[in-house]
Amino acid sequence: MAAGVALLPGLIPPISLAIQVIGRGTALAIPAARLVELFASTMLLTVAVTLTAVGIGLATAWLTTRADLPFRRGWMTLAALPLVVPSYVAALSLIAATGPNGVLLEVPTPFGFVGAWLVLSIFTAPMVHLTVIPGLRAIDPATEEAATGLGAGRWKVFGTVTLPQLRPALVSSALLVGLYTVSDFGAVSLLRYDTFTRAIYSLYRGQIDRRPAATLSLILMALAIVILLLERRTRGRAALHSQRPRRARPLINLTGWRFGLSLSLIGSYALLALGVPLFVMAVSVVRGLEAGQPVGATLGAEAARSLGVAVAAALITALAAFPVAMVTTRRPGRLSGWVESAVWGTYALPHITVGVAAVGFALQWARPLYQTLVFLLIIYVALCLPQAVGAVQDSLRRASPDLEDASRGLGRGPFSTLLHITLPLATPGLLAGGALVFLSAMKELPATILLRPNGFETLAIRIWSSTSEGFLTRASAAGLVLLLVSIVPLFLVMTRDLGD
Amino acid sequence: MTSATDRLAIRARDLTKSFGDAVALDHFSLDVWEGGVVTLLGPSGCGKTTALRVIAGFESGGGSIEIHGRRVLDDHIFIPPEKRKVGMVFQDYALFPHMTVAANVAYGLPKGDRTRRVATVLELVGLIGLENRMPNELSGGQQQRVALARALAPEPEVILLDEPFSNLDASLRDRVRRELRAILTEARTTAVFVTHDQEEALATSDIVAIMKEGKILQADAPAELYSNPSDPWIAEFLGDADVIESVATNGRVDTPVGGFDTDLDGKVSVIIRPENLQISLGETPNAVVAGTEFFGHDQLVTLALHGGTRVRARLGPRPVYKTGDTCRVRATEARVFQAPSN
Repeated sequence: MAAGVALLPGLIPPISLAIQVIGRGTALAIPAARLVELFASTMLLTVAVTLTAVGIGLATAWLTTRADLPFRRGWMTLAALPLVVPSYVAALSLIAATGPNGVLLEVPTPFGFVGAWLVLSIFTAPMVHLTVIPGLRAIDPATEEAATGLGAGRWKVFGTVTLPQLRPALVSSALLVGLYTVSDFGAVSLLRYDTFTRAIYSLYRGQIDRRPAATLSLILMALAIVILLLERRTRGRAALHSQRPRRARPLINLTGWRFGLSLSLIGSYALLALGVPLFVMAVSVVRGLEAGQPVGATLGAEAARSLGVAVAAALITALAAFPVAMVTTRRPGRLSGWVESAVWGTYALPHITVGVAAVGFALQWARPLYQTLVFLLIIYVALCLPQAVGAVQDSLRRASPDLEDASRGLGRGPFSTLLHITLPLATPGLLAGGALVFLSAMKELPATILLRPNGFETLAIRIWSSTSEGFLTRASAAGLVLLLVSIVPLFLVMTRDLGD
Repeated sequence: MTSATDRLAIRARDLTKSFGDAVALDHFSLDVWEGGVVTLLGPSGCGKTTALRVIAGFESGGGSIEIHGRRVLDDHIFIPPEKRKVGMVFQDYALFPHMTVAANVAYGLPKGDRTRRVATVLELVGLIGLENRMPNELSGGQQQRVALARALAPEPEVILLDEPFSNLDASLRDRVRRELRAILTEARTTAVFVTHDQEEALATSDIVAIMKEGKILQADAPAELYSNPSDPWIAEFLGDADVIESVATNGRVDTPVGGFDTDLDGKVSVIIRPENLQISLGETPNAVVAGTEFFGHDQLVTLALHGGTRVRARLGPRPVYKTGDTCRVRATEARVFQAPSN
C-alpha cells in the first residue's frame, strides 16, 4: 500500500494551484478578452501542428512498415529519432538556420505562428510514427487481401479497410501530439508565439502576485486533462479492436516514380528533422570558434549537472515505479485504479503549470525546500513516474502471475519470490523506464527554470537562455552535447518500441 | 475407491469462494486418498481451477482443508502456499523464462544437495541432456515435462495439475498422458487433475469428480460414473446420451424404444446412451433414419421416432444406413430419473 504515496504527486499540483487562486478569495486575475485570445492562439497552433504531424507520421509509418524501401528498418528508426530533439533545440536550429547570418537561408526568421508550427509539427511527428507502426502491424493482412479480391484498388483498400482499422491509433497519437503542443514551452517561448505556457511564464516573471500565473496554469491543466481523458478513451477501445495477424505480410514493391517519391519523402524528413539541426548547430559552433567566442568554458559543468540529475531521477523513478506497477498489474481493484489514474494524471500536466504549482507549494508550506536540488528531483520523479510505470507494467503484463504462484507453491515466501521471480522479470521494463526518464529529465526545461537552485545551470537552461539572448554558438554547443548524451538511452528505448 | 493405506491426502470441506457476484465454489467438498489420482471434470467456469487454487493456497476461501491430516485452512488458519507442500502444474506451465531447465527444477529444492535431485527428477521425466536449455527453446511436450519435474522435485505430498494437456497437440496428448500417469505411479504421488476433457478424465483417473456451478455432483470410479450417473445432467455431460420424457406407473415406464423397470412414479426422464440402441430392419418400423455420421470403426445414426423424439444409435460400420430408411429401434439398457416437477 506504499504505492498509495504515488497518488500525492498527481494531486498536489492542482490542489496547490487551486488554493493559490481561490484561497485568496478575489475575482479572476486575468481579463476575459486576454483569456479568449490565448485560448484561440493555443488551439490554432494545436490543431495545425496535430494535423501536420499526423500527416507526416502516417506517411513515415506506412512507408517503413509496408513498402520495400532499401534500408527499411534503418529508415524506421531514423524517422523515430527526432523525438529526442527537445523543442527548444529545434527552435534554436530554426533561429540559427535563418536570419541575417543564417547558416542555411538568409531569410527573416519565421518568428510567431509559422515557426512554432513548423518546429512542433516536424518534431512531434515521431509520436504518430511510433503509435501507428504497431497499429499497422496489428491489421490482419487478410482483411486487405479480401478487399482486393472484391475488386478494390490500392487507394480504395487503404481508404476503406486500412485507415478505419488505424483510426484508434491515429486518434490516440493525434491527442498525444495535441497534449504535447498545448504543454510546450521551449519552442513557443523562443519563437515568440503567445500560448498559455508563454503567457504563464511572462506573468510569473513579470509580477510579484502569483495569482494570475496560477489562474492560467489551472486553466491549462484542465485543458490538458481533457485531452488526456479523450486519449485514454480511444486507447481503451483500441485494445478491443486489435488482433494478432497470423502470417507475415508481403511488402509492397514500389517502382518508378512511386519509389523515387517515397524515398525522397522519407529522406527529406530525416534530413529536416535530424540533418538540419545537427548541421546548423555544428556550423554555429565552428563559426563561433573561428570568431574567437567562448564556447565551452562552462559546458563541462553544465553537462555534469544535467547528467547527474538525470541519472538520479532515472534511478529514483525506476525504484518508485516498481511498487506502483506491481499494485496496478498484480492487484487490480479500486485502489490500484486510483493509483493508475493519478499517475497518468501527472503525465498530462504541462510542466510549466507543475512548476508554478510547486513554487507556490514550496513558498507556502515547505519554505526550506524552495530552490533546492532535492525539491527539483522530487518534481522530476513526479513528472517522469508515468513513463517508468508504463514501461514496468509492460514487462509485468508479459509475465503471467502464475509464475509468482508457482514460486510460492515451490516453497518460496513472498520476499524470495519478489527477489528471484518478479524483479528479474521486471528488469527490461525497469531499464527501459529508467532510460525514458533519463531522456525526459535531461531535456526538461520549464519546471527546471522555475525550480532550480540559484546558479544551477543545466544544458537545457543553457540552450534556452543563450538562444533567447542571441548567443547561438554557446547554445549550439550545449545542444550538440545534449543530443550526444541522449543517444545511448535512446537506443535502449528504440529497440524495445520498434521490435516486432 | 480406497487405497491400501486408507489415509486421506486431501480433505476439503464446504469450500466457498466468490469473485464479486460470481460464485466460484459453493460448499465444495472433496476427499482424495493417498496415492490416488482424482480428476475434477466440469464445463468451463464451473470453479474447478478455483478449487485447485484454494487447495494450493493461491486463493483464500471459506471452509476447511486438511492435507495429510494437517489443517491448512479454516476460519482461523491460513497456511501460505509455500508451507503447504503442494506441487502445482499450471495450464501454461509457468516455467520461469529467465532460468534454465535445471534452475527451474532446482528452484523449490533446499540449498545443498540440489544437483542430484535435479538429475533424478529429470531422469524420471526423460529430460536428461536438456538441463541447460531455456524454456523457450523447448517443445510444448518438453515444457510440460519440465513443469512436472519442477513440481515433483521437492517431493510434495500432493500434486495439483490444472489442464496440463490443453496446450499440447492432439497427437501428442495421448502419449504424454500415458507417460504422466506412469510417472505419477512411479513417484507414488497423490494427484488432482482439472480438466474439461471427459475422455482425458476417464482415461487418467482412479476417481472422477463431476463439478457443476461450484460443487461436486458425483465422485466415482470412471466406469461406475459412466454407467450409473446420479442425475440426468451428468449422464448427458459424460458421453453421449438422449432423453425421452415419459410417465412411470406401477414400477414400469414405457417408451417408443422399449419398457423398463423403475422404482419411480410419475413424470420421468429416460436416458439412453447411443451404444445401448439396437436396430433391426425386418420388423414393424418405429423410426426413420434422419441422418448418419460415419467414423470408420463405427457410425452414429440419428433416428426420428414416431412422435418426433430423436435418438442417436452407435452402430458397427456395416450395414450402412441411409437417410429415409425405416427400421425398428430398441434400447437394451436405460437410466430412469424423476423429471423436474414443473
